[in-house]
This record gives sequence, C-alpha cells and structure tokens, in this order.
Amino acid sequence: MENFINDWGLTVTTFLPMVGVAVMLLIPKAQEELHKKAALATSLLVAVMGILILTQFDFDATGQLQFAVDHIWIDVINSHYAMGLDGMSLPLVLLTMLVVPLCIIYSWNHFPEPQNPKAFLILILVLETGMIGTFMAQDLVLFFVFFEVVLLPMFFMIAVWGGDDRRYASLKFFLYTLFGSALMLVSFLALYFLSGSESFVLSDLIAAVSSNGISRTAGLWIFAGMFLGFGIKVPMFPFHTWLPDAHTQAPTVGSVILAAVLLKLGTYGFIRIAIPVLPEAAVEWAPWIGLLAVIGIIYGALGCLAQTDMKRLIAFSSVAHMGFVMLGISTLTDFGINAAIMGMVAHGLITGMLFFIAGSVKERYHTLDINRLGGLLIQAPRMGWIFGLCVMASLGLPGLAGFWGEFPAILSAYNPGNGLPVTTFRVFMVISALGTVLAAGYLLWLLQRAAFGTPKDEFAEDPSITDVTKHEWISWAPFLALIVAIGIYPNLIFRVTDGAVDASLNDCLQVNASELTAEQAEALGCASIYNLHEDHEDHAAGE
Amino acid sequence: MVTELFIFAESASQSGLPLGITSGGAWLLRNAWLIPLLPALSFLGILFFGKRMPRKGAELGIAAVGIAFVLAVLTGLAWLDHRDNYHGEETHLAVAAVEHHGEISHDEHHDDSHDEHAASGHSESGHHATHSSLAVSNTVTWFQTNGVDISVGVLVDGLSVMMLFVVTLVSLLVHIYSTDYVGGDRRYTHYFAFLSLFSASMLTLVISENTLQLLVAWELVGVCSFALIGHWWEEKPNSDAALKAFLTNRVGDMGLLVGVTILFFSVGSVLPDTFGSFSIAATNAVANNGLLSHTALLVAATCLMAAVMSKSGQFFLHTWLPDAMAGPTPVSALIHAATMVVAGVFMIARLYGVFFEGLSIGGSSINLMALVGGITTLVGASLAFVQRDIKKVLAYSTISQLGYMVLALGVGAWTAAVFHLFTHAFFKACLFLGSGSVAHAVHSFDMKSDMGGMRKAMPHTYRTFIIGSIALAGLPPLAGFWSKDEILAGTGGWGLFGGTGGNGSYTLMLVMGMITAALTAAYMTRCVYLTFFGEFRGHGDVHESGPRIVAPLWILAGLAIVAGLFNLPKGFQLVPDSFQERFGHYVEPVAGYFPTISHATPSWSLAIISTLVVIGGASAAWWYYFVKVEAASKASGKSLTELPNGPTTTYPLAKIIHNILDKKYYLDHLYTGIIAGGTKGPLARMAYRFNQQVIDGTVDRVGETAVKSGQFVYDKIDQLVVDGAVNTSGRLSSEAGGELRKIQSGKVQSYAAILFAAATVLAGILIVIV
Amino acid sequence: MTTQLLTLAFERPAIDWHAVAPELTLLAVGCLITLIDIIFLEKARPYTATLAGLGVLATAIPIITLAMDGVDRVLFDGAYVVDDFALFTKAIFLISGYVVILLSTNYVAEGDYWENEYYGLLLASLMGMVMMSSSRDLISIFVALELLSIPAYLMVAWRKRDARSNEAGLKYYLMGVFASAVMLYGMSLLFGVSGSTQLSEISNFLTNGTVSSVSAITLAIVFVVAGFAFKVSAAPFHTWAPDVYEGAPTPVTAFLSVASKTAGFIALLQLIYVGFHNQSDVYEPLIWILAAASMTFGNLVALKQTNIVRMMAYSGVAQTGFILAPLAVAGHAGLEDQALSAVLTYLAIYAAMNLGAFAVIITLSRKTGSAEIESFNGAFRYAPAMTVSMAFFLFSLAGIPPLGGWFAKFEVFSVLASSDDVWGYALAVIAAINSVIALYYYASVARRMWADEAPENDLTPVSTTSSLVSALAICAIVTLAFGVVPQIVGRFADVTLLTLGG
Repeated sequence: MENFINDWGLTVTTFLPMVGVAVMLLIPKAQEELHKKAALATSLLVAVMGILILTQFDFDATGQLQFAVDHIWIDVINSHYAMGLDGMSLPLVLLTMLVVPLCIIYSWNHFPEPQNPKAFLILILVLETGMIGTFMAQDLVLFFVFFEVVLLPMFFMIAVWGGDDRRYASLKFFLYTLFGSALMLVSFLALYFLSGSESFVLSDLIAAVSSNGISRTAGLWIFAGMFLGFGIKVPMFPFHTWLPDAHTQAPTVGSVILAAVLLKLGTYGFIRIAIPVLPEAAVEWAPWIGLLAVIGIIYGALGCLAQTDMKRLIAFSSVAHMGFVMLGISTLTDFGINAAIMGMVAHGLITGMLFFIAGSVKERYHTLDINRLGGLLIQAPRMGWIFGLCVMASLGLPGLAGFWGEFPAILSAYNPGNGLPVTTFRVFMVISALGTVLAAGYLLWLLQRAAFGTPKDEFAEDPSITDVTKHEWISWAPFLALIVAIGIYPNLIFRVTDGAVDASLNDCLQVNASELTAEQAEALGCASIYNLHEDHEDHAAGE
Repeated sequence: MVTELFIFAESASQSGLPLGITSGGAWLLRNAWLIPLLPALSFLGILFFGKRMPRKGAELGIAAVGIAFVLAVLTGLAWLDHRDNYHGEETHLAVAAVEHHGEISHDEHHDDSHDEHAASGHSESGHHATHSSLAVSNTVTWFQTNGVDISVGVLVDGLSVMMLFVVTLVSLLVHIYSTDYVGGDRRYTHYFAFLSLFSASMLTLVISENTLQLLVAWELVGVCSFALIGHWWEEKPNSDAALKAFLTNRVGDMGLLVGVTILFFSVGSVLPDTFGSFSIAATNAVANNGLLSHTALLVAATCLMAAVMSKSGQFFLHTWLPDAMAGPTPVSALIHAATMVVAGVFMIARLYGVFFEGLSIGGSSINLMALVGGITTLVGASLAFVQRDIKKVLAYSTISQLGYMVLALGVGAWTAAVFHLFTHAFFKACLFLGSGSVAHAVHSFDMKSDMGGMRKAMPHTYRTFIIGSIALAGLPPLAGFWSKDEILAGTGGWGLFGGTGGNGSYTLMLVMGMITAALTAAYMTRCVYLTFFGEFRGHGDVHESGPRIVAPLWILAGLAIVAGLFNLPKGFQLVPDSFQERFGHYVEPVAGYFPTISHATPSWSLAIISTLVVIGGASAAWWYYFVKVEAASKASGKSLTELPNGPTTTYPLAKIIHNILDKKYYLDHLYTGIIAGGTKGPLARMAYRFNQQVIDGTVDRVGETAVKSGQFVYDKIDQLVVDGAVNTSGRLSSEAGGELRKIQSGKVQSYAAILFAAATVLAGILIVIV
Repeated sequence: MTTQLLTLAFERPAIDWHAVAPELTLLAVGCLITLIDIIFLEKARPYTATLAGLGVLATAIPIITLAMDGVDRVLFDGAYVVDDFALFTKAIFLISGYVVILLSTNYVAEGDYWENEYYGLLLASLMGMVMMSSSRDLISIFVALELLSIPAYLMVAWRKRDARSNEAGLKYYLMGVFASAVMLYGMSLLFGVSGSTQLSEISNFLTNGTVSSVSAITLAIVFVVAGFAFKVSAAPFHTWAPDVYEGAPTPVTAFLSVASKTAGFIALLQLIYVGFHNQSDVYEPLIWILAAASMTFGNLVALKQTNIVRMMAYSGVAQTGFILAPLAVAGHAGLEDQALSAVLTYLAIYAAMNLGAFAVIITLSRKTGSAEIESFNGAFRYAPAMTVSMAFFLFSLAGIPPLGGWFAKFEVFSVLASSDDVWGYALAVIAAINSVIALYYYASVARRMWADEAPENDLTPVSTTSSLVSALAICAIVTLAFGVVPQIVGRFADVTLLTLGG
C-alpha cells in the first residue's frame, strides 16, 4: 500500500474523477439517481485517496516534495509529467477534495435549471481533476494545462446553469482569465529559454535561474507576465471585475467551487512558481503587489458597501480577502506566505460557506436583493445562526479561521522581507488594518439586513421557507467544523505549511536577499525608523 | 508540555533579563486555564443540548460558572500563599547581544523611586531571581510559523487572579439574576449560551500569556457583546446598537492590531533566534529595561490606546456604550459595567511597562492616557446628567468611572486604578442590576415618565441602590471612596493636601478628578430622586422582585460596602499595619515585567477635602431635586416629566449646554451621519461607480472595441471596399448580365485587384527595406 | 495536367517505384472508380464512396512501409524527395482525405449530386497533395499545385443547382488562376536569376552566387510567397475564402480548409526551408506581416459572423496566422527545426480539430438545414454528444488544454519566445491577445449550443450516419489524444527539411 501510494497516489487521485466521468458517460442521461451516486462515489473515492495520502505524508518533511513522480511527458519540449505534494499544496489539495463531494451532496435534490445532473456532475468531476492537478503539478507546462482545464467546466457551468446574465458573465470570466494565462504561458516559455533550463520542471528552472542568472529586465518582464496570469485569477485589483459577474451569475455550487478553490490557483501560482523562480524580480515587484493588494482590500470593501445583491456583496468581499492574502505574499516572508496559505484555506471555507448560504437563501426567497430580505433568523433560525457564524468568520473574528489569514498577513507587513521598503509596507499594514473595520462594516450590515429584523410581508407567510435541510447539513457541517477547528488551533495549517514555505523561500529568496543587505537595502529606502530591520538583517546574515 | 520558545530557564544567568515569571508554582496556578474552559464547555453544551434541558440550559451555565468561581477563589488563595511563600527559579530572557540604542532614556525617573524594586536591568538580576512574587506562566504551542512557536497559555499573577475572581463572581450573580430577569424570553437558551461564551472569553482574556491571545479574547468578548446587545434583534434600534458597538470597537481594534504587531517585532529585534514575540512578560521586561526605542514604544502605546478608548469607552470612542444598553440589563451589568469594558483598563495594566515607558508616565505632568481618562471622566459625568433612561445614566457613569481608571493609570497610580476597577465592578453591577429590578417592575427604563417613588414598593432594590450610589459617589467608608481617593492621591497633584509620592505632578488630573467626584454625586442624587422619590408616574401595580434578583443585589451591595477595606491606605492609623494595602501587596506585580513605579500615600486632608466635594455635589443636587423640584411638582400638581420652569427654560446658557449634552457633543452625528454614512453612502457608491464605469467599463470597452473593430473591418474593408467596387461596377455594367454577371465581372476583378495590389505593395515595401 | 504527368513518366528516368507507390495507388483507385462508373453506371453508386475510402486507406500502406524503411529517397535529380517530412505530411493528407470521404458519403448521396466523379476528383486532388509533399522543384511544385487545385475548383461548384455554389466555383477558379499567375511570375524571376528550377540549387545560387539584382530576388520571393498565401488564405490574400467556403458543399469546404491549406503550407515550407534558406531577411518580415495581419484580421472579422461556415472561414484565416507565425522567426539560428516542427504539429492538429468541427456542422445542418449560428442554438438539448464534440473542437481551436489545440499554440509560442528578438516577442504577444479574441467567438458558439433555447423549441434528435459518427470519432479521439499526449504528434513532427535542402 505504501509503495502504491508513493508511486501512484498522486496520479490516481488526480485522474480518478476522469474515470468517474468515463463511467458516467456510459450511463444514460435519464438515470439521474445513478449519476448522482456515481459522481458522489467518485469524489468520495478521491477523498479516500486523500486520506490515504495524508496517512503516508511525512509531516516532518513538509518542505520536501513527497510522493513525487517525474516522467518525461512531451519529449520535444522537455516537459515532464512531474507531480508532487508538499506542505504548500497539501492544504489546498485537501480543501479541493473536501469541497467537491460536499458540492455534489448539496446539489443532490436541487440542481439549478436546466437540470441535467449528468452534464453538471461530469463538469464538476472534470473540474476536480483540473484543480487537484494544478496543485500537484511540478512542471510548468503541466501546471499550465491543468490551470486551463479548470476553465472549461466552469465556463459551461456559468453559461448553462447560471443566472439571467450568464452569457455575459461566462464569456467575461473565460476571456479574462484566458487573457492572463496566455501571457503567463508566454512568460513560462521566455523563462525556460532565457534561463537555459533542462526542462520545464520547477526545480530545474529554479536551479537554472539561480546558476545561469537571468537579466534584470527579462526577469521583470517575465514576472509581469506571470503576475497578469495569476493576478487575474486571484483576482487582484484592478483585474477583478470578472469576479463579481461570474459569482453573481454562477449556480451556487459553481460559486462555491470558484470561491473555495479556483481563486486559490492564482495565489498558489505566486507562491509556487513566480516567487521561487524569480526572487529578485519578486523583490522589485513586491511593493507594487502590496500596493494593489491594499487597494484591493479597501476598494473591495467599499464595493461591498455599495451592493444590494447578497451574492454580489460576497463576491466583492472576495476581492478584499484575497487582498489580504496577496499582502501576505508580497511581504516575501515566511510569516506572510504562511499567512497567505492560511488565508486561502480560510477564505475557501468561509466564502464557500457564504455562497452556499446565499444559494439556499435564493432558493427559498427567489431573490438575493438585500432590501427585500430580512428576518432570516426568524424564519430559518439555524440557517440564520450559521450565516452569522460565517459572517463573523469572514470579518476575521479570532477563534474562527478567517482571523488567521488576516491578522498574520497584517502582522507580516510590518516587517517585510529583506530588500523591501519597510516604511511603505508599514503604511500598507495600517491601511489593511483599516480594511478590517470596513469588513466588519459591510458584513455586519449584511447580517443585519438579511438576518435580523422581521421578515418582509411578501415572505412572512411563505411556507417554502424552511430551515436547513438534511443535505445542507451534511454539506455544510464539515465546513463549519473546519472553520472553528482551524480557528481554535491554527497549527492544523501552519504546521503543514511552515516547513514548505521556509524551504521554498530559503531556496531562493533569503539566500539571495541576504546578499543585498547593507547598501542595496539602504538604496531601496528600507532603513527602518525603529532600527529594527537592520538588526534583523544582521541576524539573517549571521545565520 | 511547556514550551520555552526563547525564554529558557536559566537560574543564575548573568546575561539574561529577569522576567519575574516562573513555570513552577501551585498546580492550581499553573492550570488556571481550567477556569475559562468550564464556561467554554458549557457554551457548547448549551448550544447543542440546551433546549432539551429541563431549565433550557441555564442550569449548565450556572453550574459551570459556579465551579469556575470556586476554582477562582481557590486559585486566589493559592496565589496569596504563592505571593508570600514561593521562592522558585525565575525565568530569564535571553537578549541578543546587539548594540542597544544608545540614548534610550529609562533612567532619570527611576531615581526618585523609593520602592523595594527600584533597580532595573541586568545589573541586579540576582535580586530578582530570589524574588517571592514570581508570576506563574504555563504555555503550549498554538501554532508555528517561520520555524517559531507561537504559544498560548496562562500568566497568573495578582492582577489575573483578581480579575478571575471578579469576573466569575459577577458572572455567577448575573447568571442567577438572569434566570428570573429574562425568564420566558424567546431566546432564553441562546442568552445563556452567549453568557457562557462571554465568560469563557473574558476569563481567557484575563489570564492571557501573550498579546496575541489577548487580542483573540478581546475580539471574542466583543462579539459576545455584539450578540447580547442585539439579543432582541427583531427591533432595528437594537441591532443598530449592536452594530455600532462592534464597529466602534473594530476601529479601536485596528490600533490593537497595529500595536501588537509593533511590539511583536520590536521585542523580536532584541531577542536572539527569533523574529518576534507576543509574550506579555517579555514585552514588558524589554520595555522596562530600555531595550526598545522610545519611538517604537510611543507608537505602540498610542495604537493600543485606541483600542482602550473603544473597548473601555474612552472619549471619543465611547459613543457605543450608552447605545449598548439596548441589551438585556444583566448583560449591561456584566459586560458593559463590570467586566468587558474594563478590558481596556486591564490591558493597560497588563502591558504597563509599554505604556509607562512609551507615554513617559513617570516624572511628567500630562500625557495622552491621563488626558484621555480625564476628559472621559468629565464627558461621561456631564452626559449622565441629562439622561431620562436610568440605564443610560449608569452607562455614562460607567464611562466616567472608566475614565477615572484610565486617568489613574495615566498618572502612574496602577494599584489605585486596578483597585477602582475591582470596587467599581461590585457597585456598578449592583446599580445596574438594581435598575434592572426596577425596570422589570415598571416595564420601562424611563425615569421621568415611568418611575418615581419606588422606594416604598421595592425596599430591597431601593436599599441596595442607595448603597451602590453612595459607593459610586465615593463617600466613606464605602468602596468607592477608598479607590477614588487613592486615585486622587496618585495624581501627585499639588501635594498641598499632604499626600506624598506619585509619579509626577498631575495637577490637572487632580482637578478633573475632583470635579468628576462632585458631578458623580450630583447625578446619582438626581437618579435616585427620579427613581425612588416623588410620586409614582408609571402604570400598574409594582412590587419587589423575586429572590433570584434580590439576592445578587444584596451580595453586590455587601461587597460595595466592604470592598474598599481590602486596600486601606498606608499610614491609616485606625487599623494595624498588616491590614494596610493588602490589595496592593497581592495584586501589584513586583517583577521584571512590571515597571518601577512610585506609590503615593494618601493623606487625611485629601480624604476630607474630596469627601467635602462629594457632599457638596450631592447637596446641590439634593437641594434642586428634593426641595425645589419636589415643591414645584407638588405645586403644579403635575408629574415632573417636563419641568415647567427648569434652568434650561430660564437661562439661555443653560439651554445651550443642555442642547450640547442632549446631542452627546454631536459625536454620534459625526460618526453615524458623517463618517459611517459617508463611507456607506457616497464613498462606497463612488467606488462602485468607478468600478463599474471605469475599470469594468474599460474591460467591456476593450471587448466592445474588439467586436466593433471586427464589425468595422468586416463592413468597411472586407465588404465596403470590395463589395462597393462590385456594386459600382455592377451598376456601371448596364444591367446586362444580372446577378451572375455581376459576380463574374465585378467582384472577382476586385478580388484579383486586391491580390495583385497587396502583393505589389508588400514587394515594394520589402524591396525598399531590404 | 495529366498530360504533363504522363510526359514526365514517358521519359522514363530511373524510377523508385516504392517511393512513388502512394501516388500510384491513388491514381489507380481514381482510374478504377472512373472505370466502374463507366461500366456499371448508376448501380455502382452505393459502393464508390467505400471504394474511395478503401483506396485512401490502401495508400497508407506504402507510406507505412516507406516510413519503416526509413531511408530518404531522392528521385528525378532532387526534384522529388521522399523523406520523413514528406511521409508525415502525406499521412496528414491521407487521413484528412479519408475523413473528408466519410463526411461526403451521405452528403453527396443525399444531395443527389454526381458521386463517382466527385470521388474521382477528390482522389485526384489528394494525389496532387501527396505529390506536393515530395516536390522540391519549382516545376513539380507547380504541377502538384495545379493537380490539387483544378479538381477542387470543380468540387466547389458541385452543388450545380445552387447559384452560390456556382458563384463560389467560378470565383475560386478565377482567383486560383490569378494567384497561380502571380506565383508563376515570381517563379520565372527565380528561374531567371538563378538559372535553375530546383530549390536546392536556387538556394545555393541565392546564397553564393553573384546576385545581380536584390530587388528582383525580393520581388520573386514576395510573389511566390503571395501565391501560396492565397492558397493558405492568409490575409490580405484571403478574400476568396469566406465566399467559397460558404458556397461550396460543406465537405468540400472542410477539404479546402484543411487539406488544401496544408498543401499550401507544405509548398511554402519547402520554398522557405530549401529555396529561400538564407533569405530570411526577406521572408521573415513578409511572413511576420502576413501572420500578424491574418491573426488579427481573421479574428476580428470572425467576431461578427452569423454564419458558422463563414465564421470558420475567418477563423481559418486566423489559424493561418498562427501557423505562419513560427516561420516569421524560422531564419533565426537554431530555430529552424523547431519552427518546422511547430508548423507541422500545428497542421496535424489543425486538421483533426477543424475537420471535427466541420463534421459537427455537417451533422447538425442535416437537421437545421441552415448554417446560421442561431440555428444551432440549444443543440445540447437534442444532440448532447454532437454539442460536446463541437465544444471539444472549438475549444481546441481556441487552444484550451487538454485539447490538441493547446499544444499547437504552445509550440508556436515556444518558437516565438525562444527567438530572443523583439519582433518574435511582439508576435508572441499579438498571438496571445489574438487567442483571447478567438476564444470569444468560439466560446460564443459553444455557449449558444449549450445554453440557449433551440429555435422553435424543436427538440427532435438529429439523424446521424455511421460514416459521420466515425469521422467525428476519429477527429475527437485524435484531438484529445494530441492534447493529452502531445508526444504522439511531437515525435513525428520532429523532422528536418534542411539536410536535404543543403
């Protein structure tokens, strides 16, 4: 078993959903129950694989790629089928494995119009392969392929099962992300050729860049390309406008998957590829990333305050939350990136949950207009309380998961990585702290208007407004449990990510950055007003 | 599992900085985390099983808090023993051998210190090592990041033990009181669940070992407060109040986030092998010993002050607290009087090293904290005058008293402030619960229209309320007197009252304190008159509340009487020395993590003068209400709902002042109307419009342009040029061939023309280039 | 044309029969079909398509044996070469041809068109293409070109009772002749300057010989390339394509858009790699312009099309731009092989996905009777498999992994990105942006088919035939396989032309 997991674990996990798809293709469309069961069974099998992998995962070596496989895939372009799992990807992979079956359970009895569970579930399974593959791929071409595979099912999910404006939203989502990834691909290629790497395998590229070097200009441009690709996916201000439309129009499950996993592909790309490969360019770009992140935090919050549609509000809140994640990443410190991964997981769980609730509210009230809602706590008290909990988690209440993504990110901005302008980042820190106030503002305002008060007359006597159903309980309970569990014991995530982040940064940034301590740091204007930074640098250099 | 991240036990260390903490000590002290655990478990129990219990979960909450109370008392006793008898090994802080910022000044104001621990720094670490007042610390890893363990745990010393006692006691009484007060409420079970959660959070807060844990608990008590203020959320004003409380606190929490961050890295910068530390003891110790730059401490202390201002209702972030009275009365007593709102005061006391150094409390005559406290105490007291709602009177009174505490901390009177916190908890809880008892009877909080003459119908409530009022006003020998008097002495102002010592000469603060003392006495007299004297103006038949309400009232009233005796001042000749300053002895840390402050000694003359001031304030109010108003009311035969000839109708200045007070200094207008409204309204809309029209608009326009240019290229180039030529030639070709002919002749010709032209142009260009 | 071929044969140079076996097989089958038609008349109709199909498959046998043999064969003093390149491209032609026959079977039979002649012409055209793969001489290139073009002119006008088909046939014919004329002019210049028709000798002369007139050579190259730009429908030489595609019978359109275009590219490759090798300062900017213009122009115009065949025509123009792109940097040192491999990879994958798209269009048109995009709305409701396949092909054309198209585009980007030259990068960025624009109309069609309401809510299923389904299956499997395991095509496309050219 151990050997099997070691050699085949990742491959089987990634492609198991496709086996499910193949089976489902053979089942006639009319047998809906069978389709649901098949899809659920497949996704559960994937989750079981995940658990098996977890049991074999060496938690003392999170910094190393485990269960790694590396075969030549496309000889002509030196691309490998290289997969691996380390502490950075593990939480996200597990998140994916969790989200998919729960989404299937959630849709069990209420598939969005125009029904057709067969197609819908097949798309979800294809998505799962794409998402898991992206998190596991260790070869840039492979990464790119999985990264793109995700687009198709999501496009159809929005285009076919979406809301009234689905045509516009689906195309916008597709075109916008494709635009980013096309330039990202060009960057990957330029990186490969300019670094003279042996292959597209990440470790080869990192080694090639650090040994052969790459010119500053080239590095900056390549990073810019990746920045566009990943930044659009995140999405970062000002590339975020596809997100509210996509979320608002997508079916509930689509929104959940989009929020829970898809957005993380972008941030994951930054920490997995962009920063480790091009640390020097990252240092030069980081202040700008930080700036955009902080703008996103405030801007997303203001956008939320202006919304009247619950789903759109939650979508805008994603812009703000991902801003915190990006702020953590832009510090280029262990602390910040750990916080970012935590933020990704937390945002996945919390915003995913919020979209679930929005979906359920829509199903009961047939509207998400906040002005028409109210009194959810009276009509569906359990759902109301769950909503309240998620709102609290989303605004970063300590003791729930959201806090551990938010506060450490703010914290890390106080002391950004070597070579970054300290004062600038401290300003970012203060502004992002202001973002937490605004977050509380819009989320509580939402809670107040949707859940408190008494139901509006039009819904007061509506018998179809019921409390949480069985399927909802099953699909939500794990989310809620995790939100609380991670909130109370954040080490569940930090323990896993820390080693990996440390290793990936040590490989690139800290070594390089320590070379530019004294004079360059001076030149970059990072002499600290508190003289703390130099101490820290002495430190780093001393080690 | 005890983790020593950077702190390592090193008994005879020469280089280490003494922290004044130990990992040893009695089992109860090391395991104080059990106390918050109990209500936490009861929260879960009530949440999941509460509705199925015979008493809907209340019994579980009471049991948990009751046991917690017993444990807290036992812990307290253990601490008393520990304080005097424990001589264990002290934990030292390894400090990086980096060059410390030369001109750090932590020196001169220590010189005049007469305290037993006047020394600071490494030089006398041996002295500390044998100290008997080591706080007990016990931590486990919470999470690790950047290879560093961040811990969670307990820091037990006099302060936390005292807080444990106060919180569990008041919480227990409030639980019992609530079973009657909110009996039959639509969300009875939820109410108790949140009470439990609140107790757990508050208890976690007071035993926090580090600032991160403090921050977590800080926010958790905030959210409990939110939930309980908005307990009756069906009505919008209640949920508005809850939102306001939460948001105002969030504003302050920004400061907490930033302050904690600054401290984290500042401490990390002087410690070896780590990049930061949340440890409260380490932070204080490093600050006390001048290892951190003054700027860093000043900024951190200022940021933390913002948090204090919001949580503890200090001017100008106090506006949420009166609104918070929308919650059930027991909640107001517990959260908005006795415990949560003092969290800010507690935090200052906890991180006193940071504040003491950062705000240069020693040896000066004014600083931010003292000023904030002073202004708050005046603002609160003045606003308490104009309230009709009995709970709002008490709320503003709470603001005022919290201002007192902050003022005390600001002038360096640490013990006095903490002692005032202690006594205030009892008498203010007593007053709140008393007001609740009255309101329970008359179903209203409006003193003017629905109360009056309650002393006959509710004798127990009346008596306890009077006791609480006297204690609050600060008349000897009740609790408030002792603590207030110590604060006034602690200001070190003037010195002509015979008091000695103090950390500076805060004359202004002494004046503010005196004025507040007079105002307090006056508004409480008004409140008592309106509630308990005169004619009953409400409806229905009122009678005394049941035993579950009265018993807590009497217990608190009793404490309001005797609590002051725990800290009889030094030099107070009536009692033996061993009864003097007991509270100070056991509560005030004498350790490396506590700054060296000087202690003032009150004097008879100060005590007498302050008592006279109080009596003066009370007398003036008595004359106005008990004599003048009573007479007017009788004469006109009307109730005093609206006094026909009050000063506001007579004197324009009084009217202006009344208006300003009535509008609460226009702060609410500024916050709700201008700031929140502005953000939510115009600013958010502007941002969104920008988003839709500029950013998204650009995206759309790019798309549209592409499509349009497609149309253009198709229409104007592909079709017009080509087809145009076709059509023209078609028209010219004299009808002859019809459609097919047109195609044959015109269109293909033009296609061919394009083909040739393009080839020629390309060739031409290339020939020129190449 | 046939006369010319016969004349060549008549001189009886030493002939490697094995090397020309594919051409001969096709010829034989073509003749057989004609004979059968003459003898059995109408009775033979049901069997011609099968026979033609079998003939094409039979032709694959010598190709396989030649490939296994692995020796490069040079005939007619280097005018005709059978090497890996030739074999690979011949294979593309034959498979495309087979798929087109499958597509044509029912279309031609049900449309009551002449069948036997149709297949005869198809095989003739195919033979011209197969010849093109081996031609390394101006004359043989020209002969092959005419051999593949003339039957195509006829086939375009095959719907003889339809004015538009006639119009298209005529237009295609006239335009083809013009293009040939331009090309011939260029060729004559080349011959005049270098004194040889053989590409390798022209190359030698252009490189080493004393060049009298740079302008003449430039002019020659431009005119020759322009002639083939017509064949591959690169902008601005694409004008015929939309009208012809729309007017021609759809299987013929598929044939033109894939096989005919590929043939043009093959010729272009031979000219550039063998003939104009070392003239990169002339052809690179030229191709750069053609590539950039084709991509941008084709995509922009395709955005506004309402007829799917016209859209596919413009999309074909854009795809041509992509295929041309690597050639814009093919002269860079070290990039020759990579660019060649990229073009061949693209051609192979393009053949699969484009034929697939046409297969779906043909199938669905059987029901809707229209090629308007609107008429395909809501096809998912009544023909889910067709719709999914269409999405497959469209997204493959757009270059979305894991469908074949991504690898084709990837190779193009890869060549451009490794050019280490601002123009190369610029073209890469243009290509990247264009791939986004392209997605817009591909995705729009896919979305309409999946999400919209069917016109008049007509949900009767489409009638499919086994030949259409098998054509579709071939294309779908190949498209997916190329995407998931690009090594399949990558390995075969990894050939070189230069060794023989030098």
